[in-house]
Amino acid sequence: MNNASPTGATERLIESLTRDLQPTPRHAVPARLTVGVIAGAAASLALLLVVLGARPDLAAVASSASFWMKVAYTIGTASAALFVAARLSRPGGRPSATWIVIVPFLLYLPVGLWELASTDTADWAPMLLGHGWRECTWLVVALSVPVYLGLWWAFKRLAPTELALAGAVAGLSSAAISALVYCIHCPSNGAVFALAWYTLAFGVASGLGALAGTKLLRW
Amino acid sequence: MAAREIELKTMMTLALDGDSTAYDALLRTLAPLLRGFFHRRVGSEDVAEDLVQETLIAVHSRRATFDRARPFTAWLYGIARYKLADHFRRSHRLAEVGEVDSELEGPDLESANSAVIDVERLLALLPHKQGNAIRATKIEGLSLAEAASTAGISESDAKMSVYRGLKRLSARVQGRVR
Repeated sequence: MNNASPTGATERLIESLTRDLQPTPRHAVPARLTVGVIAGAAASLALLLVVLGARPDLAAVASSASFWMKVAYTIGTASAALFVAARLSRPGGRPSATWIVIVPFLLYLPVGLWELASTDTADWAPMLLGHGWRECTWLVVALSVPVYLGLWWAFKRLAPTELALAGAVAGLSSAAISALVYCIHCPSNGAVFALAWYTLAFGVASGLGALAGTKLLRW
Repeated sequence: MAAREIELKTMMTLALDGDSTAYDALLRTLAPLLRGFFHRRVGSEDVAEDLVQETLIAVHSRRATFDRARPFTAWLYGIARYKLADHFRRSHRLAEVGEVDSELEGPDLESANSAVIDVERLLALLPHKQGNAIRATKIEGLSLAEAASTAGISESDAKMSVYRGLKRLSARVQGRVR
């Protein structure tokens, strides 16, 4: 009798869920995201080293401030985006602080403006276009794919409820990390160059991430 | 409301530490809350009960995403609202396409079948209508129309029952594998 009622089925479901309950680790969400990101970043780095190789003057350039400011821009954006992604991976977390992802851009922007101000206008175009802006933009987007897959793997056991936004932020995190990896190869150091093309890659990856997110992140 | 939040959060915290008595009490407290939430929004009792079960399964399989520093009810209703939106999207798509068979042969179900799992025991977890619909179409090999007329329900009802039942089973099996 009870067997046939839908609430009876719910009763049995509860019994089966309660059986063999295992304790849940406290930091399961950050732990899983970390594993996904590190695995994705490692794959992205391996791809870069095998396919493109490091820039030959990497050791020399590692002592220049402009190189490290560019690196800081990618790390800052990645950190902010991952922070937001972690919030979006939990139900009921209002994405109130999504705007923080543009803070690194705003901090880097004056460096670019100063670069422009201290350069003759005739040299603005070469400074903006660098050694290959198209290549740079598309390589950052391409190298972000393994990182995005790592985040997708992490999100699969988590519970994002705003799929497009979570996908966009995952895309942004991926591109910021792949840009960091790409710094090893990228021949251009300038702030104007990075502000334009790294940021364009971030935007493209966010858009693609949002599109993919609405499909991939369902649970 | 505030008292309830504290009560639920206490049970959840104990459950996360492995206390199955508290967990049992929690799920039994949640079921009527969720039933009310869904029933007000979808009207049909059967559909509401399906959503209650899906939400309980999600609470179980996603319990690691609960942050102990945040309110439990916000987390719970975040899941419930997601399942509700998912239901509306799915039933809309179902009405539009009217073709679910390709979705039914998902890889999750295949792997579940190849594992040695007592199918009947799993089917018993489902509401009878869903269990019967799956048994008829997927095990006995009847067509949807035959299964529907045997059960005395409409064909679209049978199709929906199979779809919902399989989705629930695959969620169940995945939850157990973890």
